[in-house]
Amino acid sequence: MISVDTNGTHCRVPAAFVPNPLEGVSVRSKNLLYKAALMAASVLASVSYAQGQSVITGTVTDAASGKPVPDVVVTATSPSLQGEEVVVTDASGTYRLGQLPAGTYLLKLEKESFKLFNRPDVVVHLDKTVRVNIQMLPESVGGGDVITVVGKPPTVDIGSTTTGVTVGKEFINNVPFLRPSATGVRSFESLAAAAPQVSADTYGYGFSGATSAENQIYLDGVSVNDPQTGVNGATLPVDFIEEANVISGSYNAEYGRAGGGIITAQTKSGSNEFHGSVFTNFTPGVLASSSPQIITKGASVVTQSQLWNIADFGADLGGPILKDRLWFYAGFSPTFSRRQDTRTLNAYTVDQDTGGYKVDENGDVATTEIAGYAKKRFRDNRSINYIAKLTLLINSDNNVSLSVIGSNENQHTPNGGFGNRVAGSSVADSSITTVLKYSGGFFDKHFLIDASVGYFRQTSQPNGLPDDGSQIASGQGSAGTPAVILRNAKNPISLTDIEDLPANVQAACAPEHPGDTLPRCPATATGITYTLGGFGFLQQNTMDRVQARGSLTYLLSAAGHHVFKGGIDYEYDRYNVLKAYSGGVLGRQATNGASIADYRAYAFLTGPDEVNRQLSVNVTPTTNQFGAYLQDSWSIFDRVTLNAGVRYDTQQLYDATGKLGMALNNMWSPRIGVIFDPTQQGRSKIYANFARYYQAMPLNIADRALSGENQASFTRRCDIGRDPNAINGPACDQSTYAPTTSLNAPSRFATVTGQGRSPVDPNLQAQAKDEIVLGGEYEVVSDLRIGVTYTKSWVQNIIEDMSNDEGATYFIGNPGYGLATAFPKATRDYDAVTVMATKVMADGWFAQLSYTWSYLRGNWAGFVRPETGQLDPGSNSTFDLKSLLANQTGPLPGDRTHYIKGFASKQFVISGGLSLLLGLTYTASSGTPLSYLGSHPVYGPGEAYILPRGSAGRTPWVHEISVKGGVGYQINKDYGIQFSVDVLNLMNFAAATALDENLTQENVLPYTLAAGQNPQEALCIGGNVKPGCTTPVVRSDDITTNLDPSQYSKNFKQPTNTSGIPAYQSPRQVRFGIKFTF
Amino acid sequence: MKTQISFAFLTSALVGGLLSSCYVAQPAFECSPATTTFAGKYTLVTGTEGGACAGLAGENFRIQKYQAPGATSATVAVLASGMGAVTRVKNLDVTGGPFIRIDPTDPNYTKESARGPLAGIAADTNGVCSATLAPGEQTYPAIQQHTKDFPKDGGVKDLPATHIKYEWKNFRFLNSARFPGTVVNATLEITRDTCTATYNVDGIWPAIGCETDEDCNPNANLDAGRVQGSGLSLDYAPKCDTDFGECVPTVSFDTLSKLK
Repeated sequence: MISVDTNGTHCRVPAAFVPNPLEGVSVRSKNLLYKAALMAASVLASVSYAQGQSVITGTVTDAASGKPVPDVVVTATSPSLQGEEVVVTDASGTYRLGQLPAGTYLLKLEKESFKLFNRPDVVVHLDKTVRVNIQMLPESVGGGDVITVVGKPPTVDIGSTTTGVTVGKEFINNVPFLRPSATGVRSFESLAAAAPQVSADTYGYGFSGATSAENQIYLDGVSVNDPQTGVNGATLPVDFIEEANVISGSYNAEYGRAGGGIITAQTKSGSNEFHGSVFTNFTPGVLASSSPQIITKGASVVTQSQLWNIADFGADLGGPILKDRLWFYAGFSPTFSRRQDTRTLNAYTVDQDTGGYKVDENGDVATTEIAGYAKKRFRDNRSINYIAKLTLLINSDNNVSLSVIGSNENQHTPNGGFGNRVAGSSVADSSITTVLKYSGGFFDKHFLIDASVGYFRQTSQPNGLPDDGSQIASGQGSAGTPAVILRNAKNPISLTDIEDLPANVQAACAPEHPGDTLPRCPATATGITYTLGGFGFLQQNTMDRVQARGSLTYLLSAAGHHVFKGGIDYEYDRYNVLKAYSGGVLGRQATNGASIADYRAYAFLTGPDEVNRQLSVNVTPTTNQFGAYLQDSWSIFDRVTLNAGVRYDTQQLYDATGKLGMALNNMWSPRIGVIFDPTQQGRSKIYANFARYYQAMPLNIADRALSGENQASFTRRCDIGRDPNAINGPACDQSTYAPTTSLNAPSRFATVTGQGRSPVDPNLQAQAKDEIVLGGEYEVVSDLRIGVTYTKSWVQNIIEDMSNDEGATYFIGNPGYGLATAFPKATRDYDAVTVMATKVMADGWFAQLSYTWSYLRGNWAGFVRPETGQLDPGSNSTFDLKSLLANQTGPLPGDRTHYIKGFASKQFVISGGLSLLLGLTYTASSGTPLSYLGSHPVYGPGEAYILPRGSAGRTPWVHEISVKGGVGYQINKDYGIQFSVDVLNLMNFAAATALDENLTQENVLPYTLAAGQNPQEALCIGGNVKPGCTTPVVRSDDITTNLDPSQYSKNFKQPTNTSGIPAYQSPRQVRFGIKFTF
Repeated sequence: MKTQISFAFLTSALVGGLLSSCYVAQPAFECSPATTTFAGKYTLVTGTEGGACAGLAGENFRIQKYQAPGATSATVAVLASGMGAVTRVKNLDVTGGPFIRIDPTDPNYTKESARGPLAGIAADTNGVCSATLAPGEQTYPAIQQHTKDFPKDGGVKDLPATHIKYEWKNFRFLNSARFPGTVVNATLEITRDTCTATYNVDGIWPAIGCETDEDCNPNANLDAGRVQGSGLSLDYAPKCDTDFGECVPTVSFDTLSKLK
């Protein structure tokens, strides 16, 4: 009796080679198989080309004796591999095919005196390792000459402890889960949504309790994070992605500088056959639903927006330039989207009894919409995305590839008569990523070298630029005209005085009663301001990154097998920002209407009142980062794998003048993991991992906190009427300057701000996150594996700006350490358990279902401050003052206790080349915590936690069901066409996702709840409040006065748009697509 | 094989050792005096007690820095309220601020503040910035009551002629992460018409007005009804100088300069 082991099913095949239906082993004639092999070899190249990081490994044993078989020639071929990859088993019978691109492989094993062995359908994903153990039959055993195993090889990644998912082409094409961005593009970074422990925030996807600015995102191996803020900086439609690896934790030493997760996306490549596609998709606005509108109560001007349509087109093509030597891949996809804005005006009613405006029963100003006005305009977004890639095989062991990936986006908002501004805005953003990669093998591929040089350039205009074409500092058009904020509340200004409005509006805004002094259509009043004139703040960012990475892999057999990998990783980032105020100044009227101040103006002094105004400021902070790592993946006698590594990083940030501003030293990150496969067949693993991750600081801090910004202003006692240029004219000249009230200011008229920069604590430590991951995975049946992981992480030494003197001075340090010992330590403790089942794509269907329970507590959310949308990594307002930290420890905004993600697709082959596709997505998450917020005496509304964070309940659960249907028709073996329709949020669920947490606008002293004290009772709110209830919470400006519940905001816990998070989940959207493939 | 493994570990140890030596200290930063009002505690050195010159417990002052972007040198101006109160006459009820008085020999008031170059644009190795200042000096003729200026505010009242001079010597301030341009020490000679006095000045920022020591407490004290600290550094050990009406440091400049 001999056996053929198919990696885990342990079925034994008798000497007669009766095919076993469970195992799927069949024996065919040598001639037939050789024909097939020859055909395959003729289609595929006869030389090797490798360009990935995936690995197939295993041991080859003699089926008769059970002993390892050395010197077996193992040949791997795949449609995703140009050529073939050949290795020879070592003395222990072990082989390792490294540097493979992700794909489905055929393994062919040959050795004299053994029967030829074929193992098809070996699937390996991006950066994963699968084990395929093989038993070869000696020639002496009877039966056919070729063994072809058609059973399913295992899919468990037995080489690493990383958590996350791999998203391949089928997932992207078949599962409806990608929603277009603001520009209408379905870009690669949104593939992160497929992974458990990942949830969206204002700027992207947060991993494992961290925020979106803390990830590292690689496109073809080069980092494409925005150098300023750390969020994703590149756009590429998913149509051009081969596979993306979404890593939520437990990653090796080769990855660093991230406190969140890692996204590595691999673009498609050309092969020896010409393949391509032409596609178009259309999302009609008429089938899109709208979220409930949030209308500011008591507003005189209301603007609402509605999707009009989204359309994209595209084509890609890959093939040989020189067969077996040089291949190309190119893709191009323009996307257009349009939204319609509607502007309506409301008239107020003057109360003749009080002389003020009439209010409704809620205390809001009563308004009546002016009929026959509704003004409309279209906002058009255009995005052009492209990729071009060349792959050159130098010889059988060396290859290079060159990719250029880019996008150009434009978002145009015309003026359209929406106010009194010189011009509308146009946001032109772009990114281009260029990567040159080399992979080579030496000494029988015992040494592997991977090297890449990448250049990433990103341009952005956070606020856009004028659409009249006027340039920063040109003195022309909108850029040359000051913007002025009118605020006169003493004598409110009527809209009819500053806008050219039609007669019916003029009539509706005319005084209702003789003697009414208040305008019915106020442009200014208490709490209402109106900006007229030029563009205001103008900003043009140009960011560059040069990154060089190189690694050397060395394979060694010693007490098992070692894969040593060492590498270096150098990065230089540059953040050039050109900023200006249109017309040199942003004016702001005093609320009593008596004067206009130069609210913002770039200027420096050369004497007490010698103000040198700068029409623009151009600064370029930079940073250098160097990293090196060494790791060993040691398969100890092929039973237990030990991954041990250490990474070292260093970073220096230079300020706007090029001087060193901050140094982060000695970032030593140990990584250690152990993996055990109880089945020893690659069908299971249990693992544990500890890692420390040091985080890189994006350049924003070098601009905002380390550089300072000179501004100087005058207060001008003049009235500009509706002419913004008057602020720079004779009507507001030197003779109108108001003297400063200070008796000791060297300047008699000018006020200077922004000269200061935050010093850095000399004892500053780099910030880090520690993480422990425990898990197990088991392939219960072929292609279906279930896994469970437990993740625990906590932060070390986070970096923030702080003030020891209530905001008088600030410094950058580590809360709880050094100069900031008076501050509490920053905490962000994350615990999560994920249960996940994956049915890999096979037999036309695929499914991935995960449930995550998580617990996120602390006083620091991360580089993003989700409550306010603030994105100032290292200088958010969280830790600024000690008094801001009272009650701040609790469930953080990213704390969603339950998260369910289910994705599935099934392809039905009908007949005659016709097939049907059905895709389904269900996601659900429990709500985020809510707090009772009040005003802080220094930092203002929303900054004081009245009760401990999270004590105001949670937002509701959010559910979403999306479906996809498709019909495919294979015209012939070369051509196919697919029609599809995606319905995102099929049921049009409209759960509120952001609720107003401001209980009151009053200054409130944070209150410590007594043991067992109910938060609602303490604040006298909710259903059980007894009449005459007095809250023990007091005002911070007078602690002898209790908070007055009658001053609570009526909007508390109502849906709100205030912090950049939409008030409601995204509404239903229907997308039609046609794709022609060849 | 053992040799190969040993070699790998030795290499990694060597590389690690080399990398550890890449330590870069946090940089000294540009001299940036705090931009608003300091409280300067005056300790009399020479001069007769009492009177307009020698009777001062302290004065508020401000420092202004003049440095064009990218410039490698900078100057500062220092103005104390004793000078400013004469040049910006406060006894008028003028809308929008005090009336400005002009020295006819200095129409652009370039000599009102004491001005001079900083020794360097960055702090020295002890975290100290220093400046050599020319005296601030103004001579004002008498003004008779009139309504030509500020007619809506009732015009200008009688003002006597006066000469006033503030001469700052050994002017220096701390410029470290702990004290970012917030602690000043200097010798100040004040001349007003016929009298002269010399003081040692210990200035701290920000100026916090007070009536009791509790008003200066850097920590919040709910028992005293204060939900926030005074805004002063704990390192100053500040106390209220009731004669001055401002919180003043009880720790010397030299002691503070040793705190890192």
